[in-house]
Amino acid sequence: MFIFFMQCGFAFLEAGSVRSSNTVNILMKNTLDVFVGSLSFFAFGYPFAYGRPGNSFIGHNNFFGANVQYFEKSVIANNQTLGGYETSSSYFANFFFQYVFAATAATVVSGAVAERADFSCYIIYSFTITGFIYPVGAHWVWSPDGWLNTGAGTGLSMQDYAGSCVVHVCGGMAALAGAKILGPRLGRFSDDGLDKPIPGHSVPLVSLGAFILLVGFLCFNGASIQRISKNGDGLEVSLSVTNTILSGSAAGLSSMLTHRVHSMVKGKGKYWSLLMTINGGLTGMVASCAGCNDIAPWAALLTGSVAGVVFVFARQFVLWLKIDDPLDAISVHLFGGTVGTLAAPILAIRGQTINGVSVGGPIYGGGVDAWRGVGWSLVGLFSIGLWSGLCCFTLFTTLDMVGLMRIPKSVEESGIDMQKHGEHAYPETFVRIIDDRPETPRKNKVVKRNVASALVDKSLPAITTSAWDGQHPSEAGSSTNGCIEDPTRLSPSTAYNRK
Amino acid sequence: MQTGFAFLEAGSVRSKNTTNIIMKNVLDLFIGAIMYFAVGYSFAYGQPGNRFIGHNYFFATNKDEVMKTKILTLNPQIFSFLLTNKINTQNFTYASWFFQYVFAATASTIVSGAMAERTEFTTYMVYCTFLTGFVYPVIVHWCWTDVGWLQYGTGTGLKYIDYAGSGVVHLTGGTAAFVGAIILGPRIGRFNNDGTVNDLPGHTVTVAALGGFILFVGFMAFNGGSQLTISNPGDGAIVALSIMNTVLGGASGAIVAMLVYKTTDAIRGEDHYWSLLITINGGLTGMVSMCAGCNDMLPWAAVVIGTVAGLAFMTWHHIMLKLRIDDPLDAVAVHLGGGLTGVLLAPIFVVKGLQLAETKEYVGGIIYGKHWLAFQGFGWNLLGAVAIIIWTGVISILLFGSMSLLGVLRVSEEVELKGLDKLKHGEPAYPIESYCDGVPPWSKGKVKQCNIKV
Repeated sequence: MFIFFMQCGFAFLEAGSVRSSNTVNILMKNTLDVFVGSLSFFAFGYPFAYGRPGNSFIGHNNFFGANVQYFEKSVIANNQTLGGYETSSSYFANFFFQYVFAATAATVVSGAVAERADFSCYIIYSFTITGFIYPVGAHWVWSPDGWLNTGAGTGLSMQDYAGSCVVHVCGGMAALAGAKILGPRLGRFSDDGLDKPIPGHSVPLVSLGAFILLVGFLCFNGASIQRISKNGDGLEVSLSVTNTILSGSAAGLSSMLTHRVHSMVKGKGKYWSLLMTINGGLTGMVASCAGCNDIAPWAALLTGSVAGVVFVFARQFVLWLKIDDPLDAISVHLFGGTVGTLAAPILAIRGQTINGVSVGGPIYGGGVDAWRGVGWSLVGLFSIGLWSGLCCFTLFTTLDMVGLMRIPKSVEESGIDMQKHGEHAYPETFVRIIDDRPETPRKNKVVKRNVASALVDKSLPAITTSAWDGQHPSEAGSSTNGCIEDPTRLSPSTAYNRK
Repeated sequence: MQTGFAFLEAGSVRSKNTTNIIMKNVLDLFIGAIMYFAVGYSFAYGQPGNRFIGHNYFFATNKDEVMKTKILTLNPQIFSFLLTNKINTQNFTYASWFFQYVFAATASTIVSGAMAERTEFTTYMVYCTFLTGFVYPVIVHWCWTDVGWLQYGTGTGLKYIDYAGSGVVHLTGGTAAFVGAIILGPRIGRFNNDGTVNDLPGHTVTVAALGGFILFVGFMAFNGGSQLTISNPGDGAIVALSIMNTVLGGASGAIVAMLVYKTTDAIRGEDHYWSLLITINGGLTGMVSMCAGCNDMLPWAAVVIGTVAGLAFMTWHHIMLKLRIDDPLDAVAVHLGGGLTGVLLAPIFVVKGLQLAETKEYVGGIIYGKHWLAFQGFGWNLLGAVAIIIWTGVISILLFGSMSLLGVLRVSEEVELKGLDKLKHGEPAYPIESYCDGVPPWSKGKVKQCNIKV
């Protein structure tokens, strides 16, 4: 249930990272993918992932919950088994646990397509990823029938404990496909290719989301053992949690330091960026998913440090590809997941189990078998990446050709909330930004700020407390939040009108 | 609870410093994890240890076991973790590490509250490393391990009573916060030369209240979980009692603080208000004071201690203002005041209390008056509080003092006035260009905004 609470964390992370006129829209998408996802996962997703019997590609039983024993055997008359297949009485517990994992994979994408994806496109996508794309990947790695789990003749088993690859690489590739096909937000990249960042409207909301995700991740990884009463379970769970927090911490610190050095070197100023730190921390936790139950704590520190550095450079790479990712979802999930999938078998302690015996990881004397295990993880990484990428690419291209993919330009430039949802995220009675600065003459008569124009009801009280004052106490009265920004960059409409 | 602290602090500072304070909270979580893992837990709980400090379990390895593996026995212990593949070290459990780590993170985050809005970021990180890596673990070793001198006592059964860390966690954090706030100096514009105080209010009460609520919930887990076991007979009852006492202590602290604030201002003829922030902080003080003995006292005692804690909070609140020490969140009042209350009042009200060494009989608190040992227990707790204050205070004075002399403790005046977010982090908390009202540009002047009557 705490993992379900991670959906709340994602919601806030995304809400704070978009502009205030798109907040309702992004929250709606997050809420909907929880609901749509649960229906689709129950009907198709869980059966594809874990339906037994199934072949090595996909499961094929229990659609819509068929052939599941709802009550304990003693309750049913004649002790009959249903349909010849006897399924575990913990079906629903397993279903819920797997469902929250699937919902996590689906919600990654909403971050990458924020502020410009059409609503119906998002619903269709959400249904498909929780119903088909993610479950097939999960089946390969986690179902006793799946080919990555059984080894398809090699005798190896892919090591992905809490889903670095299955959940995060899958979601990350989907995000990549979506963001690429959707295209950047208006005004994000100037004509000569310069990057013009569009900051989110509320850093506290982003950090609330990040904190909730950090806590949720501890549960995500800790609970992936899916039992607690066998001997040694407590140790494994506590080791997972410890490794997760260590990996997250190391990644947060390393991404913060890397970013500072990087931005200093690039001449963009020396900043301790909060958003880099928390996204880096999340990358570290994503990277720890694959092997947190099987690596030593110092290895978690190492994984985290690497993940943090990878995150910073991955972000630069995504920008270089001119892909607009409002939340850096691709960098966190795809690249973090890759680091994790590769780090886990290399740093593993127990490693592969050949003939019922753990051979040990490569640094613990596993030898050739251990390195073959690393290779098998590489195979799995490519398979799931390609599967997710190709499916999503097809899906999004189809949606794009049908014209369902992106919202109209007019809606995007004025903000989605009022147009599509009829609700302000921050109704005008609560926030009014007063602009007392003298109007500087401009050539193309671009509106400085929508809010300061004649639309504002002057009878509403203005906010003039010192708490919102950014200036010296003697200049009280102009609540510009202390930010002296380029006035021509204040709203999407101005961004669109700019040459 | 880190979320709770982050939001309490974010809501209580001005909007131009919000990113900075959240960053400090996030950082002390991450730095705390690494430092506590590397050396903190080992100084605190490393077995064997001497009376002062532990010295094993660095980086979660056990030096005795490592030395037994015959690989490169000449290795210094600090690199032993690279060789051993044992994840199951004797007497060290990951669960225990994690639980103690979050306590350490709590202690260090208290300091960020008192030093908000004007502290240099790098120095805060350095300070945090020392607190979670050395200052706090040593105190934990004294109070919570069998060999530490406060726990060991004098051999007659005298021990330091502090179940969930009123003294260990909160008194430490509060003292460090106190020293830090003094050495740092007040925010610009806070105190006038004629002695009046300018109120520099936080920017969002909602966010601060969210933080307060998360802390209330978290405190119940803080105190309930301090039993550390759940499967021994009687554990469930003790955990339930702790949680109940925590809630009662918090409730009485909050109500008393709120009433005192309103009535004292009314009596003095000033503007008097039912202040939400005072209420929340009073509740936190009450819960802090409960930490010391909530597992071992009757509920009426929890209400009494919570009341005293609420009064202590108001007292410290006014003391800080009188001494012209600027504490944006009243962190010192909550934690130092609440911590002292808890540590000093627990030995009075506990039911079972200390155990006589010879007869193994429980003597109860002072109010039960069964044995002279209860009075000695009070004295020992007082000694413990003094020891914690001196240890933390001296090291904090050395650390903050040297940073202040080097000129790196406080941000420059220009940065403080313009706000730390933009200049230090490049990320204003509420960037103005991201606020738009969503009205299509072509309908300017033709479409009226929907106004909600308030």
